[in-house]
Amino acid sequence: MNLSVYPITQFHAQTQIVICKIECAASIKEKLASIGIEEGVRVEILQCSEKNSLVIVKRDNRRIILRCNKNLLILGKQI
Amino acid sequence: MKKVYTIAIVGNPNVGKTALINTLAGSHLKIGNWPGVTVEKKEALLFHEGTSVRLIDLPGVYGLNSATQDEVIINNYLHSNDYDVIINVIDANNMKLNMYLTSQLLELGKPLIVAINFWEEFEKNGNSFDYKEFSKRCGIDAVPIEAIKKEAKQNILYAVTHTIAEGKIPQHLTDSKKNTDRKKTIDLLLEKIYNKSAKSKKSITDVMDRVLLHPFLGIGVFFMLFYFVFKWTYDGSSPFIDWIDGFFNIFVRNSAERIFIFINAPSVFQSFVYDGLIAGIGTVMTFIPLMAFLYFFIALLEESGYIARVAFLLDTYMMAIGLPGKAFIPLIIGFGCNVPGVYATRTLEEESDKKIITIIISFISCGAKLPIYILFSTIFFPRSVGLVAVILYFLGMIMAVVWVVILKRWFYKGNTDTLIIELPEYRLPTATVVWNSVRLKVQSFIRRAGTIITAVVILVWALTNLPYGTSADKSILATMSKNVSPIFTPLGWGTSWRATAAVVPGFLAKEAVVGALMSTYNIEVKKDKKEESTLLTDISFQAISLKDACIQSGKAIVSGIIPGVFDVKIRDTPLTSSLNKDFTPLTAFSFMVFNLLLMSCTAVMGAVRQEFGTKFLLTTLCITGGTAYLVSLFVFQFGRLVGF
Repeated sequence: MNLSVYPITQFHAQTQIVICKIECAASIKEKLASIGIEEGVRVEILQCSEKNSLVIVKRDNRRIILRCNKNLLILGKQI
Repeated sequence: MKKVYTIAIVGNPNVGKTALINTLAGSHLKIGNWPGVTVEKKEALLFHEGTSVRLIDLPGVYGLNSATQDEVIINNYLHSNDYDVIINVIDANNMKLNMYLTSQLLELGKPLIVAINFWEEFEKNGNSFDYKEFSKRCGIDAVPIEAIKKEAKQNILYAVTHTIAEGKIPQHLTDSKKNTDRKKTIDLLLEKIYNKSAKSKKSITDVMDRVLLHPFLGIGVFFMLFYFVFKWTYDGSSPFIDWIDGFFNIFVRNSAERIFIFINAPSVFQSFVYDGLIAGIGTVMTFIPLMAFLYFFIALLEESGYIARVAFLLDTYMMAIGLPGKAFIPLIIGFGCNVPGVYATRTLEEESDKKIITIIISFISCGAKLPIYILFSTIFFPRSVGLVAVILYFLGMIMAVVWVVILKRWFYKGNTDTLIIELPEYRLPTATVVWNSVRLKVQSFIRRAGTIITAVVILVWALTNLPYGTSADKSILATMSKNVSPIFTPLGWGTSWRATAAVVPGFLAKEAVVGALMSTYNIEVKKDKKEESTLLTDISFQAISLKDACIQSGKAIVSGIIPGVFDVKIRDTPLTSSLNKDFTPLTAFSFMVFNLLLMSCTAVMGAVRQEFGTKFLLTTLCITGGTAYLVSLFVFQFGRLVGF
């Protein structure tokens, strides 16, 4: 059992994580894949606002704002 | 050999496509729309080695998955035969991520060139990429470039000529269209020829974002930035406004007078030219500097990468009223002009959010409404011109918030937007890109001024002056306006038929309100009686005045760095004494509020109708018209009650 997997909005800023699971509609998953957010990739959490479920992640040189709500759940593990 | 070659430029957002097309096309860039939809289409025509080359700048997309309308447009276009070569612009510093789209483009089997932008920065960071080997493997030309540099034009056009001459067709990267296969294949391909430096240094973007995206510091910077945008817009444009005013009322008028004397023109024609065309159009033209400065600062913020951060900063506050932070971006664009603001709602995923933003965008004061505020504030609030404008902007935003809450709660509930936005790197805005952005918007304004406003000014002059010799009070326009005026009497300014007469052209274009007022008041601009004024002395005087205006503008911007009240020069306009007869400060404010909240113009109406249909347009007109009337009514009646 993986105890260290959390929704990515719960991590602190400047934390390196690996994305373990993405739960969303297929079209959103495809859009995320085209922008570089997929299961198994490493990203850095730049900013996080758990209050409005907003997070800024960085993969390579790309910075992406994501809202993780009932339409999009991203789970990650700190590395 | 073909006479015209068409090049389609495609790539992820923020990779430098606009910069490249500006480098290739220079000032030949034009903006239009894709047929049947309202997505912006940039294209340009240039000549290279005796051949015409047509460049089409496609919208920035991450993939060809047809999930959004932009992707549908690109998919349809790329599967057509309407082009000869695709240029795929990629960001060298995000090569792996950009390859997702590149791999899909390779599968099309059409002539393709990969332009690898930001190459110098990529190499400076210790990275390496064997683009020649990549070219060989894919069967295409890969060209490292710096899109903002002149050399990019030569290199790209050489690659285009080479690709067309040799009939190069790319090889496929993937056999399957599954994401996992595509991802693995890209990894394998780049692993052998792409070397990312192990040393990771904090980029300046990350450092700046620690401040600019801070929940408190970031908001403070945001308000400060926009304060200075408006302050510098007013301070910097004032000297140029004076110059254009003098140009029309002295130089153009004197020149027209010389011609009329020479040809012995009838007085009715002279009246039409002086009081109709010169007075009306000239007054509207005086606001070009104001709008140019505003567009300039907004372009700087857009090109620097800051505007995208606003979505994150304001998300908490926007979510409090039920909208995503991303929804603020069409509203910011609406500050320049409501029309692109309406089109920018396409970036929102939820239909309910699009409709709400479209309705409230009219409450966001666009550049065209500024002439009305400046005119009335200068006359009735001379010491607080800037402050009045800021109050009006805030009033518009308050009404926007009120309607968002009402519409979200009862009419357009919807779900919270799934937000996915890329934040671009901070970059120094490129002069060419900013210049073209401002130039195209100002040209659009001048084109409208030259068509709709000219037609309105002529119509208002005709209705006010014909039959010639009739006093304005007994004109056709006066009769029509007097019949309608009682509707506006409770707002305080309905007693003046001229104010009512100015509202109607305002439906066509807000810029026409000031021109219409000039026509209805039959403003005769007092001629500057210089002794022996000749064409040459007039030209010399205008040239010296323009030079002085440039110096004064620079001084005003530099001295404006010290925060303080808006220091707009009090300017005596020809309308001063006329408006003072029909308006008081309270009724003037009521008039400004009415025009603030009314839908901007027919172009906005056309955009709304195109996006959402006639029924929604009528709904929007009722909401904005009703709000404008009721708020203006409240302002006047409350003001009267408390003794203003």
